[in-house]
Amino acid sequence: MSLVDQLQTLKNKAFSDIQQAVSTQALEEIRVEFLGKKGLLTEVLKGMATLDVAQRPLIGQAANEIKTEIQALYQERVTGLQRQERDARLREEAVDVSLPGHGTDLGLRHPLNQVLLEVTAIFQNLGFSVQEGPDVESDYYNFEALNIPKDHPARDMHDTFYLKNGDVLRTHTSPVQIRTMTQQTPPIRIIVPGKVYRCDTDVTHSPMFHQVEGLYVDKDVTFSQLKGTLSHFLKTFFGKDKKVRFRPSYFPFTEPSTEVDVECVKCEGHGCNVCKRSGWLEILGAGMVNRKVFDSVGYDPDQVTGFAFGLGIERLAMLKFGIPDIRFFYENDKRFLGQFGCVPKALTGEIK
Amino acid sequence: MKYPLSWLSDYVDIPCSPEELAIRLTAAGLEVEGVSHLGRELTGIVAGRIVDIAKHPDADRLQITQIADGQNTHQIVTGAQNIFVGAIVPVSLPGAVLANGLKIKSSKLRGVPSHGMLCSQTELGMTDTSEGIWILDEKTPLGVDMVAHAGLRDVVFEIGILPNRGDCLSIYGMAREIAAVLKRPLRPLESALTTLSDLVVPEVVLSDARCSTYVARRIQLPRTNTKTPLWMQRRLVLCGLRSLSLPVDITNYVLLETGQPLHAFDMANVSGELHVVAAAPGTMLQTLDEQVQALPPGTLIIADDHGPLAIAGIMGGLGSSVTGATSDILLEAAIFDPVSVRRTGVTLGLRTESAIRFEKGLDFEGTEKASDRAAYLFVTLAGAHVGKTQSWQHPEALSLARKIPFSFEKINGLLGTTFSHGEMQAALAALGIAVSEGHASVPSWRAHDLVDWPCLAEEIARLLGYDRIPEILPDRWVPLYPPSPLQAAVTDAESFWISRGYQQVCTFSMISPEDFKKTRISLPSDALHIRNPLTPEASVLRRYLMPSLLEVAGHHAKRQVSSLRIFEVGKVFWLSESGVQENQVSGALLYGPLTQGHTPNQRESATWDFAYLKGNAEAFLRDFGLGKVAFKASRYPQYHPYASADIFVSDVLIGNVGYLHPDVTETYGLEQRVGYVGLNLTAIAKYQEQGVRFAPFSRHPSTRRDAAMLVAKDQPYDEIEAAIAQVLPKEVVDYYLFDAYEGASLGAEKKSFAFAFVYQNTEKTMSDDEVNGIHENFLQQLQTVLPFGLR
Ligand SMILES: [Zn+2]
Repeated sequence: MSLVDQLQTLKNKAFSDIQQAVSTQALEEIRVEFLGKKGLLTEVLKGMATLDVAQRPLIGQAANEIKTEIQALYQERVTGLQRQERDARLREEAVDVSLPGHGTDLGLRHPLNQVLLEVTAIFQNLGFSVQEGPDVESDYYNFEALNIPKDHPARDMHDTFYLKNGDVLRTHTSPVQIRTMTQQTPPIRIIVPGKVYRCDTDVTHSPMFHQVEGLYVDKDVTFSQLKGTLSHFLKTFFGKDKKVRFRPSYFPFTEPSTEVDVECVKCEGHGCNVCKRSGWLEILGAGMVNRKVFDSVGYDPDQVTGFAFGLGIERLAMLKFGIPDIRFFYENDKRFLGQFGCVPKALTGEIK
Repeated sequence: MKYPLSWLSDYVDIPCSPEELAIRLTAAGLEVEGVSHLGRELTGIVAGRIVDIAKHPDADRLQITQIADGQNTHQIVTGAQNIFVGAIVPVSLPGAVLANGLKIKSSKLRGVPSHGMLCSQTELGMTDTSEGIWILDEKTPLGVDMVAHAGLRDVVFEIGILPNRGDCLSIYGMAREIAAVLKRPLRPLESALTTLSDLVVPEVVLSDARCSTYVARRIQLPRTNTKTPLWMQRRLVLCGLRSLSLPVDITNYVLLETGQPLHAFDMANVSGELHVVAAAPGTMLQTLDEQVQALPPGTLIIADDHGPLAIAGIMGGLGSSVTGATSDILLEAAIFDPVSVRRTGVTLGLRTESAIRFEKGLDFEGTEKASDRAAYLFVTLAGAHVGKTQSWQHPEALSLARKIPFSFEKINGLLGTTFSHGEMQAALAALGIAVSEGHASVPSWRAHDLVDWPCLAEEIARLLGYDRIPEILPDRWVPLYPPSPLQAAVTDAESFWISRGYQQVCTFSMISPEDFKKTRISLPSDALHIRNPLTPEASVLRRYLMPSLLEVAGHHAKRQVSSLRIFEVGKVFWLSESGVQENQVSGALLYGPLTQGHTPNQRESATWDFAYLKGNAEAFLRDFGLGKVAFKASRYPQYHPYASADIFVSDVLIGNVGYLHPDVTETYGLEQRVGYVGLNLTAIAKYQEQGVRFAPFSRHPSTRRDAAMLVAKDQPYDEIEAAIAQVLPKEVVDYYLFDAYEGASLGAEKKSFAFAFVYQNTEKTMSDDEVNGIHENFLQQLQTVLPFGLR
């Protein structure tokens, strides 16, 4: 057989082998068999030595052409087979997507903490700094300095827990007003979240609960700024279309004082069981800082004025989520806590 | 307090509806908590006399009565048992409507025709419960319309009175407010006395400054046991009091009407002088409620020559009390110190109508007026002879200032308003406050409450309307302070545990002494106890968070919850020499698989062990920038003795981690292994890195070399780490344990730790030979520090 014929036969054999190969591994073996250093093509070309010098380039060219053709076919088949093999492997990895997921357990923020952070954030956006104070307070900070002397009838409004060492569990977050004012000079604009305690327990009262207190002391602070600040808060928290009502009230540490109501979230003011048929929900207590409080922290009441307010977080959370009994918050049942996941925050949720 | 509309209307015209009045009063700071329409349905009730009673032929429990209403006689069948011939009773005739809306029709009862119904007080809306038919006074005119005669139709306002508004704890005080709110005139109390007899009162000695004023007068009744008129009984009942006897009813009526408590002594049981004095130790008094009270020494009392007669301002003694049979009365109208009355009332547990009013401070010009009003009622209702009042003042009694500084500009400045002088002045005038030259004069009934000019700002604002005050936001810049390191630590800690799948819980700061026992901790002597706990279960401030979290875990275990991961960040408390200390701590607890899995692989990856807990703690501390942390085996009664550790940062104990002792967990009904991580945030915030600076890192490729070290089985891991640290080449940028192995192939005495060491140069790419050289040298050095075999 001539070298040309041999080359042709080799090419035909290589083509047929490559066509029939069923795996990339088999293909690789074929490539080595024909084109490797010691492969069949090399073997055939060894015969070149017996040829005419003039014929050699022609054969060489033919051999190169055959080599290129085999390589091209090989490459084409490799790509095809790789694709097939990957497809097969992927098919083996097929899953039933309807099977349960793994690792679905979730840690969530306690609903009270969620509302506490939400309320705090609204006031932080208005320029209030967060301040905190101790849960165990002296009678002085909790009462005396706030113009609630011993035997004052207003002490009836605070069912106080007394400790055996003579201190009290703070009945409100207001003592932090005094602590801050004695440590800093005006202007002061603070928001005080924290736990407070009263010996009272029923569907809406818990012996421990959470309050947020606010205080702004500066030159020329006015009641109208208090109204503006609290309206902003209530409309941000409850919705911008909700009506807000300011009623005169009494707190020993503010004068004038006010209680602030928001239109009932359930009945929109028509009267229902949530608002005790009044159409209004009492949310905040507030007022202008009493001059006697300024006296007790050493401020000149003729130089500064201020406003203060306080609100209960449990009540807000109960209204926000429709929780009928305050005791759910402290029972910490998984079935309760698991309900308060990604809660839309008013600040992002209300913009329309 | 409850305010009947009919009574208020005696003193002020109320042209608007009760509902509108409620809204206006609420807007003025008098929160109307309820408006009850009584007897709105009632109609057709008349007084009738029972002229005959016969047995029902077919029913033992029924009787057939004949009722005369002055014009006709009606046959009415009744089941009532308390009736008798001659009694005058309220009768509802056919067409009448009862309080509950029931319409009366003629009917037959067991075959006998009945044309109406005899009524009880309940059926007429007088009381919630009553026994039998209401037997009326024998002088009640027959056929009279009972609705008008007994005042059965009325509107009662329930109004919450703020602690500073003692002046509104009376019908007249409320009428005054209504007059100001509705801009209507206020009518005076009727109390004109035409003839006064010269009845003499005993001498009163005020030997204690806690009684500033004492007004006494004698009243003699020509007849005893005069009935209290129905309208007065009705008003007392509407305000929540019972009708007892005319003298008592009149004093109560005047108390409700004027807010000035009165006390009536039976002159027959008063001897000699009256002394208003502090009780001596051991003083006992049987009070009106028939309780024998041991009076604390110093209690202010009224005594005669024989002993105590009354606890000043709170309750009279039984011995000198008046009844229907009393004919000679000594009427007291006095002013006692609010604080003294409050203390005594609280101590003795007696919060009487009288005490409630004294506590809030009385109109110091109201004693004579109230005494006159009562005398007037004794005269008109019982034909009494009344004497002049005699009045004593304590020389040291403090008088209240009635002039306070006033400026229209300051008030507008505080409120942020532009109210005109005219409208402000008018609002104050309606409340009896006169304004002149920088001062305001406060009426006697508001002297306790209006003490500085901002009080007047409130009076003006509430009468002109809080809704007229504009709403603006403060526009001045005030520096905003970042949260303190501890505040930031609290929110960061919460976020950390939440991100790790732990559910936040919120528990009480107060726990039970039992909780210490259950966690095998003896109640520490520095624990803070509550003097007046609601329950023993919440009587000590918690010293540790663990009992609270175990309680929550136990709650779930009892409800077949098979796995749980919870945490809380909260305060713990104790008493130190410098006072009460509070620390913010973080506690995390878990039991059961981390998650549910439905394949072996998944179930495998959901298990946890000590290393998992430690890993949580380490990650937590790394989050706070605390790299150099040491874990040392610990022994605490509440922890597993061989699987728990103290966590130290720079030799300071900042937390614990480990399995809890089964003796502890079992008391909470937890059968499975429970893991716990407790960290002291107050301490951590102190050691936390303040401010983070960027550190450059090498971008050249790194090379890893492994070394499996064969060591003695009891060789602690931390010693190996310490040895490595001693001789670690600077080119090693990271190393870690990737396999800890014990097995038969190593022999019973050995174990193997396989480490990966990562080599990297900041300047250049290291060659293999270079790395090999350094690594081999390193291992040789390491063996000189700590002998081990290489696998
Ligand atoms: Zn409602």
